Amino acid sequence: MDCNEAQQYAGDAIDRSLPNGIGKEFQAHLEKCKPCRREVALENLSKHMVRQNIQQIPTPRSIQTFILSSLRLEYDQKKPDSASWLTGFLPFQVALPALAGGIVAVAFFLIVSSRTDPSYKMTAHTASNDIINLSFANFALMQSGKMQPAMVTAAPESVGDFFQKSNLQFGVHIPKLKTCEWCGGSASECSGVKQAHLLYKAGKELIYVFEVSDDDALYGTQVSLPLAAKRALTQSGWYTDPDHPDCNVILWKTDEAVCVAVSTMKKAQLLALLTTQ
Amino acid sequence: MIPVLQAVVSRSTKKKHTEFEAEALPHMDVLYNFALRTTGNEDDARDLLQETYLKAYRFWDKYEKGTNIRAWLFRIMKNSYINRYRKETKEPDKVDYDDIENFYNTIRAESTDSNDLQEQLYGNLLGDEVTKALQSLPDDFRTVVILCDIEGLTYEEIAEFVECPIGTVRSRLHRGRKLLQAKLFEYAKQQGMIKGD
Repeated sequence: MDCNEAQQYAGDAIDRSLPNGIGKEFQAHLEKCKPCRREVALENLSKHMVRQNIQQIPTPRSIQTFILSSLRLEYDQKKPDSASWLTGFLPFQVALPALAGGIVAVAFFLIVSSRTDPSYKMTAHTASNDIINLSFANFALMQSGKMQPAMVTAAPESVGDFFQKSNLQFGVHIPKLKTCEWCGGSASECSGVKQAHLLYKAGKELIYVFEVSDDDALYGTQVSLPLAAKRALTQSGWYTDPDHPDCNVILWKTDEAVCVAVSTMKKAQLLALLTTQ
Repeated sequence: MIPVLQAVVSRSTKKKHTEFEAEALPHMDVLYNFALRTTGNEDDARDLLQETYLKAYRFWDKYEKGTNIRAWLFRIMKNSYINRYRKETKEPDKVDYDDIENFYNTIRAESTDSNDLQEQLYGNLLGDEVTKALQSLPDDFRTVVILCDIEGLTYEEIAEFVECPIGTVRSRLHRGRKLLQAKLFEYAKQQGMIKGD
């Protein structure tokens, strides 16, 4: 075996094993050839240093949560493809006529039926007492300065004390957002519904958080939520509103509250901040 | 949508979610580590991991059941990295392979034959330098070094992950380790750790 061949087999000698005959020749060559012996030793050293100094680490819990939340938001937003699930049940030649027939049948049913399904558009939130609309409107007021927090602090714990004294009758969730310079709080009541308002400053971005008790949000009549949001909050605890092109609206549920965050920050960044507290 | 159709769609969609999570999520650690070693920071690794899992879910119907799902997920991650991050970050300086050969010729020419090469060459070179050296490798070489030396994959598995012949895996591994050694030698020299010459 010459040096070129030995170099070709070096990797296999280090990482796997060489077939018997070749292995013996390889070892015999190394015993005679100091440069090749040294080069194999250096390659082995390289592997050893990487292994010794760079270990595999488990995915941090915050990132696991972030990934799961992202997937569940994706599940909620993905509209089922009426063709694909049908072709899963039926062969293609049957699926298309069956789908067409189904559409005709549904149209006939709707025409002759006197029932209407008020929740047909599940993500619509046109009601004036819709929480998402209220949050969006408040965010605009905060941005323009027409609405301001009653108190501002660099310590989120102080905001917690403020809300305790405000007697809102539900546990206000105080997100501890990394990279935020200050946060502010206000409390209010409208039509018997107690509300908490938080404002965070993160670099150039503002994040507004609106909170009401989960009973009011999910079961009450004074404030409303789209059906899709109620379902998502009940099932996964998270919901992203799809209807705002110029800012992101993310909802989540805690033990006692439904929280709505509004910001012009990128969705992934906002989600990361909210899930890594 | 009328209630009966809605119930059928719901069951089938739920099944898809459960199946996807059961098959794809157990590989998160391997993917995260690769993302971290490739992007070099936790925030980008997190974003790359998120993009990978979202794409994997969206294309779940394209995955062939029973085939190597880890390799499939890895290819999605690799392509996402190439499409998004490689364009945004500066490419590492082009490697002049002649310099590496010169380094190796210097090392090979030494007359002493020491068992303790690490002590001789690198002294107390820190883990950060090793991470930096790995980060500085060209993507193709870094990928195979990570998959072999950190993740412990076989040559066959690596070939499947990166979609190239085993011979190419061997060659990239060999050259990647040589480059790594040259980088470490450079760092050790800069820090005055090289004993003798």
